[in-house]
Amino acid sequence: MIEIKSVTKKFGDFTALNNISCTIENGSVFGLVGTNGAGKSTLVRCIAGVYKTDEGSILIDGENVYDNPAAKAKVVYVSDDIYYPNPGNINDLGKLYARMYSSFNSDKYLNLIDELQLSRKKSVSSFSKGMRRQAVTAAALAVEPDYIIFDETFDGLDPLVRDFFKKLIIKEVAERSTTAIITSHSLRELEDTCDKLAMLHKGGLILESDLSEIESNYFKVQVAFKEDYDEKKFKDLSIAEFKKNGAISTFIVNGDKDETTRIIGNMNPLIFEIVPMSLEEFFINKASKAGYNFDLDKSDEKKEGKK
Amino acid sequence: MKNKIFSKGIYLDTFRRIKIIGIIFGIYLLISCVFFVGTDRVAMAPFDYLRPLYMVPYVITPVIAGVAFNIYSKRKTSDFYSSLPVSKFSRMFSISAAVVSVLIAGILLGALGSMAVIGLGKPILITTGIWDVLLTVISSTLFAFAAFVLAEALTGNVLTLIISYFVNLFFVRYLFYLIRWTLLSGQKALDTKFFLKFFMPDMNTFVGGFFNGTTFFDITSKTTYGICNLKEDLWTVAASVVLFALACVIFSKRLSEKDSSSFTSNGAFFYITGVITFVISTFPIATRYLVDGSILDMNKTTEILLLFLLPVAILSIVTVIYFKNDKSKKKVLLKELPALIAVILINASIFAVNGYLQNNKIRKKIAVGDIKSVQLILDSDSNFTSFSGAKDDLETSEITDKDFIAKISESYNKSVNLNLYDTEDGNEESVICKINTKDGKTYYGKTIMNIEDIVKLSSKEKKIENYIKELPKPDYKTFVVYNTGIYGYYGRNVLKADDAEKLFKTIQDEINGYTAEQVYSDVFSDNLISIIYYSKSGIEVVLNLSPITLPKTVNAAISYFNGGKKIEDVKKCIYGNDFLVDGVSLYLKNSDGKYTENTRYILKGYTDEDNELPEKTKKIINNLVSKAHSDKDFSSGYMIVDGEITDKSSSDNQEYVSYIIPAPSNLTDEEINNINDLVEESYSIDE
Repeated sequence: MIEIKSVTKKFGDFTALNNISCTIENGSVFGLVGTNGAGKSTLVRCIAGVYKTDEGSILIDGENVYDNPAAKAKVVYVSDDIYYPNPGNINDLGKLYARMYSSFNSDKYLNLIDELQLSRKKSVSSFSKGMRRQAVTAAALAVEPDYIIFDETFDGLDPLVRDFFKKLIIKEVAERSTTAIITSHSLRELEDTCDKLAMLHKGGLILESDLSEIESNYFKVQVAFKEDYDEKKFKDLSIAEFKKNGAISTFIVNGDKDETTRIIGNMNPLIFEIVPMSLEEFFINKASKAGYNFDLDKSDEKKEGKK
Repeated sequence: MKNKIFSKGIYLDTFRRIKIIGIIFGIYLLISCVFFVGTDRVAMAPFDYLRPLYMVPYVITPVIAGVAFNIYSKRKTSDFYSSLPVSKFSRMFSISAAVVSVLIAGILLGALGSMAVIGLGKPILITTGIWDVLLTVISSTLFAFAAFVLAEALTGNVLTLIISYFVNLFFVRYLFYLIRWTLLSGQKALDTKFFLKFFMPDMNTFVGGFFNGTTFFDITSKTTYGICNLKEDLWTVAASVVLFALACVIFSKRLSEKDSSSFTSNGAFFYITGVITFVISTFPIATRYLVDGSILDMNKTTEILLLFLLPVAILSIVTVIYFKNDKSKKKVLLKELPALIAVILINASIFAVNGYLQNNKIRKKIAVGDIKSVQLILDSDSNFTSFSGAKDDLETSEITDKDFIAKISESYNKSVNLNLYDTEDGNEESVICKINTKDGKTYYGKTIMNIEDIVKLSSKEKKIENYIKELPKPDYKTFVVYNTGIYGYYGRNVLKADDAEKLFKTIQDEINGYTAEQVYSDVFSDNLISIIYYSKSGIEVVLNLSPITLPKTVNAAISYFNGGKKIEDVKKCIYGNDFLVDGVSLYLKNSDGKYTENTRYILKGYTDEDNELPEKTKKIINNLVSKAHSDKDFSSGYMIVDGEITDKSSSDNQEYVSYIIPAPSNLTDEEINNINDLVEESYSIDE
């Protein structure tokens, strides 16, 4: 289990992480999303023991991770900016990981390389960017660690390879109880893979929840009434993103589906439908609430107003 | 998992990363060492053919260390290596171990490889002193590496790394210079001589004996041919260990391995800016004396302004450079304050101490009667260091001889009120005197003394064994290169083992029967007959020979120098006019019968047919040679005849030669006057 306790990390005057706390259970896939500069990479670097936290602590199976080889031996970190031996081929990459991690499984590594159809002889630096990521990811998986961290690793991969690794990670989690931490901007990918999701914004944790919980507690409602109405009509519900077009309005509800159905049903709607919400919509909603908003229309209005 | 000090994985991986640069430098070392061997029949002393090894501490070490620690300057490598299950200390230690292994392997490869190649192509390979060279290079390499690692631990980008590296290399030495010169000599803290010496190759930290083994403060000791003695090597290694340990502590305390960050803590900031500012702020005082201390003459007010205002200016520049992208300049300026205050305080202290000394409150005149004993501390680049034992002897002896004390006292008192900058002439030596008075006080002061005076005076206190010890031992490998010649253009003729042994038994027999004063007279005399040989440490030593004090040795040496040619053949050349005389140097016993000096005349011959001088010259030389014809040895002096032997059948075939023949012992006053006239005439033509 990874315990992140009141972690704060500063770079000069800039606070990259501000009093973050959360727990990552063993045998789960933990998705970490956030706006640009939210502190995702800083947080995973702290978890990997690259950075020392200024305040708070990060414990891996009860042990502080920073400068602790015993704790770090359980973690493999694949950075967004991957490192590989240059000059060096697939075998050299394997040797590098084998030297550093006693648990490195060479057979598994070479099998993965073959499955990914990567040349063993060619220099890794001559591979395409995506192929290099595949090679490094294969090496990291071959370490068979208890915890594996992918920092935007899959964002540059083609859909087939992404799918391959996704299945592989799920297999690792199922068979070896590995815990995976994945940061990504592709929420679609996380949606399929993760059990739990945390969302960062400006160094703060604005959400930490199971994906199933998000799916059941956050949903979109489409509703229409005979009479004229506005947002206040739904004061008994926790809603967001209220949009009205004629008699029909759409909004996001944070709450119980049955309770919402009961409350709106009592209002005698002309139309009432619960629409599934994508993780991306959920993210945009959360980020907007946190003040991360780029509205082109509003921006244009502001410009015209100035004129 | 135990927190290991050493990580085999990191060690091997570092090898992988520095493999290419290591191989390039390895090949370079091998080739350059072989290249430096030259075309002589003899592979000279190791400091000669192993000279390229000095590239290791100077150039190769920072380059290879730079490549090895480059992992901290890029985010992707920093992320990867920092996430590995290896402690920070272990990572640093293992990288360091790999770099040091490669560097030492490179040094050994260069040394052994070149020796192997030399062994194949040269009849004689001198290995005497090879350990001195190797230990010096290795200890210097360790020191350079430790300085680099400390810089790496302190800084986060290339610019600050480079600055910090040089600061680490030089600062301690710089500080000790200041202390030594401020406290001991009574001079101002910096003068040209000190300052320029600081940058001279053989005074450099790497090879100059970072701390001198004999005297802690005397870190200015000159290392002949860049070779340190064992004590200096050990001090250098000790200094390396201190710097490396400091680096380990700082590295382990760093908050993170974040790349591209400037200073990692206030301490590092203070260190870098403070030290740089301090060093640079003392520059103007040094440059003041660049031209005889007069052209850039400044008054005390200017000095004070420079010492105090310059740090402020420099720190401001440093701030602008380092923190150009930092928004919080106010905080940065606040951090600077301690550094600035420290620099100003140090500068103020130096200024105050110097001012105190300049006012003669320490350097006061001392009456001869008040002096109990005297010790001399010779300048590091003293001309007196041909024999290292001589310098050690002189410095460790507490001299109580009355004549000696009188001379020293006179010189010291004379120099008390002088401005002592650059006042030494060619044959003078800057000597720091430690004067112990009868009332138990000790005074230090710089005096300028004639070298011969030092030699003569101090020889009374010296032990002849120390000089004998440095003479060659009867070992074939050291014997065989002993060379005889005329100082200045001696050849590299190699004596046969038997001849060398015979020659040096002769030297030892003769010297053993002499007093220290006589040995000093010979060693430091102006004789042109010399024997060049290699001391125990592989250093080339020139031993001047006097025909008066060492007649047997001179005879033997000259016979080797003349290369087995018979004196009759030489005379035949001169009489037959196929030997075109270019010059004659005549060394004679003084007419007053004293054996300590020779009279020297120089004749210059001219081949220009329109000039009367050649004929006149030939006449005089013929007369000299004729008179010398009956002399069988060189006990009364000798002549060195320089010229060209011409082959009449081919004008292209000329050979420049020197012969040494006995000087005539029975020249009349008229003949000497003729020679004097001729010398004057030849000089007037020259002019």
